[in-house]
Amino acid sequence: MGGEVRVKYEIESLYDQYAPLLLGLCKRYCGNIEDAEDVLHDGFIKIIKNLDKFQERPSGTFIAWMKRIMVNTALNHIRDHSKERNVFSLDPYQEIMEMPDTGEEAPFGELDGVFSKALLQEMISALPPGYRTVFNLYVFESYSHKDIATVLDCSESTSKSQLFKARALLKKNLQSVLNKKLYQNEKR
Amino acid sequence: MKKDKHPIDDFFREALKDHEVIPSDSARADFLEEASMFVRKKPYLRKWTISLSLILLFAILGTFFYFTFSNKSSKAYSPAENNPGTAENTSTVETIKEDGMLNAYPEPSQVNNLSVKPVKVFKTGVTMVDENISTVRKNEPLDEIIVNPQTVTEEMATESGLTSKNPEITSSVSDSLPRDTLSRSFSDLQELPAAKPDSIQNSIHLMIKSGVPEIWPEKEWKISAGLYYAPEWMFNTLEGTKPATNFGIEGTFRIGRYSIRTGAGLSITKGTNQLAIEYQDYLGSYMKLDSMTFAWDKQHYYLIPTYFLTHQDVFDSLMKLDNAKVIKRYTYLQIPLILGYDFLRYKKISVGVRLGPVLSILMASKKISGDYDPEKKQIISINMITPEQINLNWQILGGINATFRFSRRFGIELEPFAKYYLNSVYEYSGSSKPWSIGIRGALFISF
Repeated sequence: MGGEVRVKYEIESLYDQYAPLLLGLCKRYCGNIEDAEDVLHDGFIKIIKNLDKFQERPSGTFIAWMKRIMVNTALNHIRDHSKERNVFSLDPYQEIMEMPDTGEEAPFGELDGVFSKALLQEMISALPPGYRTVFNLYVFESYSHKDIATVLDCSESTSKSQLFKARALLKKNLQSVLNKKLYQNEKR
Repeated sequence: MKKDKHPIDDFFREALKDHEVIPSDSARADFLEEASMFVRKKPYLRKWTISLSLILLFAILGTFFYFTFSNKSSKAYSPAENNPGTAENTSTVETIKEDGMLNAYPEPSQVNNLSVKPVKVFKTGVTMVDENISTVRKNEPLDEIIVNPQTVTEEMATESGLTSKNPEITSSVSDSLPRDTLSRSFSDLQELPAAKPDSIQNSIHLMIKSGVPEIWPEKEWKISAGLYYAPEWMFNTLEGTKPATNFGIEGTFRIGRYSIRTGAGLSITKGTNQLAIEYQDYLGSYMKLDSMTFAWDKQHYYLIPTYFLTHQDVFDSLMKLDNAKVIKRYTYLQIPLILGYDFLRYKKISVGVRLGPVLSILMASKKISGDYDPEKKQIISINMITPEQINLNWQILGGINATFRFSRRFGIELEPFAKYYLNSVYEYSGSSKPWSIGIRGALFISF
């Protein structure tokens, strides 16, 4: 019984320590907090169940291992819901295709502090699922387009176009927020 | 493949590298509740499995040793072991060697003077044949009888005509007995040395069946049929651990140590069909005007309208999610084809391994809980979180079989087994394949 209490305490500590970081990751993939919490729940159960496997054969850091599990769980979740939610639908953002992407006019590196993390997170969450998934895998998990194509069962060109559109949309949103802020500052 | 660098990528990567979102209290509570169940289940299951395995192991080993040593102890009463001269007559009923037992029975006149006591003779049969071997009187097969040596020897002597009819043999008998044996109690008779066979060939024929275990005549092949019952616990399913009950009839064909078993049985299990339902709430209704026509009232100079209306429900535009559980009972027909090999075989027990495929075909599924009632809600989509169970499933079964025979025909089998499901038990699922453990008990009759 004492062992059981100890294990429960350890699980609780593990959750409290890592859940916020992993929920941030889940929210990036899922787009809304409800789905993100579901993924976090399932992912954490997998982590607890497979903890002994990691202890037997640790591959990389513990946090990296947990992140990998969460990403896989999130991808499964997205895949399971892809039919009814039409993950790779392009229709709502078709107009973005027409926007030219020069890739140099926004010095985003200098904008630290202008945008809150929550706002940036919301911008990613607001992306359509297809864009969001590809963007997350490419940017945060450092997947190549080939890997993304394998994981999402799509072509490499689809992955590239989704990334392109995601960037364009994010840039547009950043620009609009920035303009709004500049306008407010001028008004003052 | 070289990745192209993009300022937006770097910006977001750096900004959200360590971004944290605090989970809600309900999410935390849900997780800890499920995790605690998982923590509780594991040692319980492990303890339960170990206990069951140990009980079975001890039962099998205990039975094995019981039969082994009980056979040895009955051998101790056998004259064959202690008297090499009569070794032949201990193994079969047909071989009658009178010399050993003639030694065993002292001369009546001398026996009378001894203080003899009744002794027990275990699993012993005594056969007496008269001198002409014209009539054979066979004592009933004795599991345990009290023999008074004095009475027996007197009776035997009288019945066989040893003293009256054939004094010559009587004397030869008394001559053949070592004097010192006469002072020994009857219980020591089995230890007496063998007499020479030619000294008593025409007199009393006595046969003692030894206590060597009786070996039933075995056919090269054997067919048996029986009933079985096998509770089973499945693991690694979408519903966690779930029990199943299996029962049915079966037939086994044995050739020597090998066997093949098949049959037909039912496997009954409960399944929870969990649904995620996206719906829109019902707000109310109105009468929608489809069309209207007018007729001119000439008398009153008035247009008379006629409205064509249909009833229309109004639903909220907000999408909501609901969870529903429908519990069903699934009944599968199970057809096993199990191959066996007995690595231990004794008179009443055999132990062996069993391995083979089992085919499960869904026969019926019955709802045992209420169906989901959407009331007036507008259902947008229904997603199966836990789908329905599959129609056809293959499993591979492996087990350790212990067979206990009560008699030539009847017996029981105990078989702890493990099964691996070669495909998922659900209609569609990305989940891994389940496995199960169970114990099969069977009552069989051999033909």
